[in-house]
Amino acid sequence: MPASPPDTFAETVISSHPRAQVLQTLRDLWEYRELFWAFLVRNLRVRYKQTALGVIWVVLQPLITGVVFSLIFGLVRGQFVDLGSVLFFMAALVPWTAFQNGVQMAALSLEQNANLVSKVFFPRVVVPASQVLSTMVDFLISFAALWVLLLVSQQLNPLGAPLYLLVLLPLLLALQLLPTLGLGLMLSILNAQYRDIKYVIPFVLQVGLFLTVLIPLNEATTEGLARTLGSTDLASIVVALLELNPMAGVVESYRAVVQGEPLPWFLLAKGAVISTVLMILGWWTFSSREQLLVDVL
Amino acid sequence: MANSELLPEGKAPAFVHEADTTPGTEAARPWAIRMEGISKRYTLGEKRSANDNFREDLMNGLKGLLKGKVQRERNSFWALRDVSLSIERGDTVGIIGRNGAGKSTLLKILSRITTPTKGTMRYRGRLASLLEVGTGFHRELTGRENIYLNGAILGMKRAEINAQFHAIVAFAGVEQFLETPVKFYSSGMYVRLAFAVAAHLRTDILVIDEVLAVGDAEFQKKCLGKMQDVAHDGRTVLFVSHNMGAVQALCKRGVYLKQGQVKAEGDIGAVIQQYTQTRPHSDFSSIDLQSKLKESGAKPQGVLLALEFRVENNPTESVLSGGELEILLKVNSQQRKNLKVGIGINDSMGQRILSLSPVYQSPEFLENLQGIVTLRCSIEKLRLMPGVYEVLVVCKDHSGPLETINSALVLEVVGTDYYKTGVMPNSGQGLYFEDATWKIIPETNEHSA
Repeated sequence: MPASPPDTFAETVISSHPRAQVLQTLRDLWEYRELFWAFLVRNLRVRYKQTALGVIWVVLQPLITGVVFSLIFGLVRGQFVDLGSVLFFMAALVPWTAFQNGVQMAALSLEQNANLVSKVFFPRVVVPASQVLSTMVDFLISFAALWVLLLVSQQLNPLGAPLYLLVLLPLLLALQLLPTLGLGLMLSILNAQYRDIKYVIPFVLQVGLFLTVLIPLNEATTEGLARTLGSTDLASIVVALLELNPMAGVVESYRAVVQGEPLPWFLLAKGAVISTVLMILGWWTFSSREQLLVDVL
Repeated sequence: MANSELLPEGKAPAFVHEADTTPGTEAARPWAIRMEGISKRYTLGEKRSANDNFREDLMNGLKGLLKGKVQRERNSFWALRDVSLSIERGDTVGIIGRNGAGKSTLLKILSRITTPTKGTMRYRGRLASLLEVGTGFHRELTGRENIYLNGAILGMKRAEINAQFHAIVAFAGVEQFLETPVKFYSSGMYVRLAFAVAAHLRTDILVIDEVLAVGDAEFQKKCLGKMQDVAHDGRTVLFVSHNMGAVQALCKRGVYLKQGQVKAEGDIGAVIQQYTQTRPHSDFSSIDLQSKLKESGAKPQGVLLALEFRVENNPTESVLSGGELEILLKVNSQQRKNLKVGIGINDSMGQRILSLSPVYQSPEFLENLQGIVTLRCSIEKLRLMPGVYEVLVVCKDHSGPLETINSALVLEVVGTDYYKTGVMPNSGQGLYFEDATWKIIPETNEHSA
């Protein structure tokens, strides 16, 4: 093949100056856009290869956890498992599990792909981002299971709560993706250098699971807290801290729909702000450390 | 790819480069890669332990806050220092140098895996690098899935992979195993498939590191042919290898790196010559055997004095396979009876490959030695395969062993095109070259009668 004329060759500039790097990063992202898809497909394929149940695991995990939770709390109150309480727990478990898996898998992704990252160039952000996207696919599957359960519990009336949830889904999805990606990016690049991260993450996320799933952020909780702590001020401080959880708004929204209550719009707005901050912080951390990734990995 | 068919079977690839008959036209070619003052600093001990690192970075950060600066300078070294290169489009450039010379770092910067600490690099067009065969392959995925994944990692578009898919499969010869996970592939199949994907990548600049070191001879030939196609296409190739034969076969130009700096640049033949004669007349290669003995804790007897390897009268520690070699051994005979000396060459596994001693060839050679003499052992054509060897020296007399130096020096045998055919066996295929003669004996017509 004859060499093309010189002007068709795009010039790439690799420089130690950070300003020149920003433009280059954007160009690279566009150039490698198909790699996102390839990695996403790889992640999904690899995850369920050689598993007998395959993708059913995605549904089983929140379902079984939901049943166990409702069993334990039912026993405490002297009643047996009922669909309503399983739905109550699953409404929180489905989004939280996706968030937890997304953050955790993204955080470890650069370390796990160290060999690849140190042998061939591509925009590094593809690795954690595709990992987050693959957990979003899992989420949609487990969401479908939740939705079917909801449909069943409403005596197969597709109008009402199930429809409402479907309409709301894109917004909730966006508000879930943002903090997952932000934290995933930040933790993946930090874990590349400081492996402490990988020991801290599961612990923090596990605590987060119990706080998010077991403590609904509603009037009853605030009142209960005030009674236990003996002070309304103290209780509102604790609630304000719990509301810093970037997933609080999303989880409470699912719960509100399932229980037929009004949506917590204020909490959602707060979550949107926190999520955006996390995303910006994550992106900034990632891009400022990306250049030296291979030297510390 | 217009010129994608392989070299015809049975015909060796042409190792002679097309003569530059019109040097005047060369000057107008545009550049493909330009490096200006590229330097790379590494902080030592960055890979220590992650926990130490974190604690230390925290402490340094705190100290830095207090003192107003972060202490980063201390344990650092420059892997590359002020490297400036300009590579023209269509050039095939071999990058050579010893271990630690900065080749890998330069390669990593060229292929954008890491960024320079100082300086700027520009390149024009699409650049792809092959630092290792099969990066991005996933064991659990099938051959087909891996072709698409690997292609995407190397920067290919899906449409591009679709167009090349059959060529890739045919090149690798894995038609029947496309739906088998690659973890069930033989290592040969695995490597062939991996290289096949990379070889069908449309790219303007190709950076390759030692990929030729894998696979069987037949496949190596295929690879070399493929890489020559790329070069003949007018695309730019940068090739890093220890195998001087392969470098010489593929590259027109060479860059010789030493201690992070460009030591020589230009025509590949001249650069390789500089590389193999890089230590002229230094004391470094003349080994003081008595002090070696002391270092190893043995009691020196004063018999073995010095050892030196020479090529064309220049002391060296790296020789070309197929080339000449002289070994000089200085001994003090001390009128010992039945003095015997020998030089052994072991491979990196400690396996003895070769024993050289006058005792075998002329038993009386050492009988009438007087005082200090230098023994010269000449080898016209060294038949060792490329690799790193350990040289040991022993001497004994009628009373028994006198001195033994187990690693007197490390000898690097650099690969060349030993048989001058362009086809080279790799390190897995024996220990030495043999100049055998092949003849075809026609079948006698006993059945036709």
